[in-house]
Amino acid sequence: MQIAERTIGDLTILDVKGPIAEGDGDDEFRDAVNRLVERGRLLVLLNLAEVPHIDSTGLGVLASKYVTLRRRGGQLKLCILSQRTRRVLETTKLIKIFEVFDTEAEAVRSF
Amino acid sequence: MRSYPDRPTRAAQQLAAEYVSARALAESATLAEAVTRILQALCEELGWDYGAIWSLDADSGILRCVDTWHLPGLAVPEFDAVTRGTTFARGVGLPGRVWATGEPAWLSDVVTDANFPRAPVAQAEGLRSAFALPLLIRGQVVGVMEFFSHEIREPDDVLLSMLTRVGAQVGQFLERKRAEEELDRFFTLSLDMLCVAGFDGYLKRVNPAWERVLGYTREELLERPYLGFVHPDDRVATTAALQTLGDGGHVVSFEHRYRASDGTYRWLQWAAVPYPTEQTVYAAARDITEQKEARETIVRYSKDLVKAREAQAADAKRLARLVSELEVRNLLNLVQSALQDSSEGAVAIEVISAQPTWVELLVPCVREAAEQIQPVIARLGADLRPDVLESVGDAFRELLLNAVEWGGRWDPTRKVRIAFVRANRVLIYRIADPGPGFKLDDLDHAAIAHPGDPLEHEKIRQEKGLRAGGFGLLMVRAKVDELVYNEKHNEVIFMKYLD
Repeated sequence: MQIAERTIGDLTILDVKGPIAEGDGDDEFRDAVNRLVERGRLLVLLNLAEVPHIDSTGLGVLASKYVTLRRRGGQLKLCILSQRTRRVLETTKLIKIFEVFDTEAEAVRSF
Repeated sequence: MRSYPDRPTRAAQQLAAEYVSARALAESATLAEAVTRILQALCEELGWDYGAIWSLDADSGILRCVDTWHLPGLAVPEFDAVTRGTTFARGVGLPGRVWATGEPAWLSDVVTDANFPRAPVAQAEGLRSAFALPLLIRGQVVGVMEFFSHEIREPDDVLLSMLTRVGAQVGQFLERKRAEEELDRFFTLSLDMLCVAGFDGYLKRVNPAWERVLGYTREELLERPYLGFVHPDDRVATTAALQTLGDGGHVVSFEHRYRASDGTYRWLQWAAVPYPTEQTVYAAARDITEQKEARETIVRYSKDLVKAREAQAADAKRLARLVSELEVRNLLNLVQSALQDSSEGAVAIEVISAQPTWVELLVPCVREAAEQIQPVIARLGADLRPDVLESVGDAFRELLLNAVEWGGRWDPTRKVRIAFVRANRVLIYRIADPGPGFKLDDLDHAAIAHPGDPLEHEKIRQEKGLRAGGFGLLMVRAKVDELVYNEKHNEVIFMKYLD
């Protein structure tokens, strides 16, 4: 997995490339978010355009980090989901939890 | 003029004539012989010089001379030649007149008769009186007999009456002989082998077809017991058939082999009827050798055809087996190749079965093993719809990771047994882990236990110090059609229908 970090003011945009799955990107993703939390950057937008697949563990990490950021007064939002990612969020009802945007611009404006 | 110095009385003459006629009819074998004898008998007994017999040719509508007879020493060559060479239409001449009336006729002097075309020749050779009588069968004229004398004789009603009876007898004889000769012609011309056989084991009469089919002369066929001609293997059956005939039964479609003069055997098919009172059998046989051989050829071809079909079926079966073996080998190659494609340091996955419909693997309980299996699942389902493959691939991965993590505790010495069954309309996956199983009540760290709040279980997991996750079962349930655990919950089967 590759994660690129961009910032727009207080907002940090993480461009994730690769799956977020057990043993395959879950730790990297967790660590990246944890580092942001440590730096006090609590507004995070995940650009998932290049995430082909998220498994149960990956969803767990997303949910876990969402809870972590919320507890600290931050936010975690998602944008540009693949159909497959959208389906898995719908299946697990996480789609109701996360704010999801079709474009990054919309997502940025929402913070 | 001739005279008969020792002529017997008229009554004795007529009786003698009747007698010799009857005898001639009874003793003659052929029509020609009988005709000649009757003419002779009547001429000699009744004292007439010349006799002729005429037969009606119904097709041509004329009377033809069949034969003539005259007293030895009588010289009537011209009259005889004219008689033999003349035909008479109905009503013409003495024979035609008798034919037309159906009654006897008497001409005291043929020379003066207006309806006697042969008068000049008769006169030249001294024939004067004549009488003729019809030969009748059931009242119909079938011929005429006429007699001539060099004397002028007056009509003799008694003689005519007697001769009318003789004429009737001759008519019947003629008819019988005609029928016999007709039958003889059939007998002779028949393509079938006709015979009369005796109960004594010898043939009594055979038609020419016997000689044609078997090559023996008539004499050779009649002089030996007929059983001697029969193929040794068919003698018991033949004797049984003869026994049936001896008991008065009929034989229909009996078949046996009869030896021909060249030593070969011909198949004969028989129909026979016995006449026990005559101790004879009337039988007809047909040479069915070619027919039989053709039938045997067909039977042989049929058997060959059956064998060919069986061979074809065996080939097809062998081919199917080869294909199956090939598929197995291909599948095995595919599985092994998929496993080998994994990165270096891949764990050992044991292939238990690689049948096209049943793939079974033993997988060590490490994460890498689960990663290695994924390509196998993908390759096995290469022909599936992408969405189906995605669903079963995701479900399989989730459940396998659960098995190696919770059942196998990431212990590489423990194995998860996985199986994949593919049927026409369904995919079935089975994953059995080596763990003790679990209770559904203990799944509060899973999202499936909290359908109203997808984050609740995550909080519980954090409290319990468990890694993030817990969405596996919820995802799997949405991706497959059937999800079944065993009682201990250490074995799960899921199915995906292929609609």
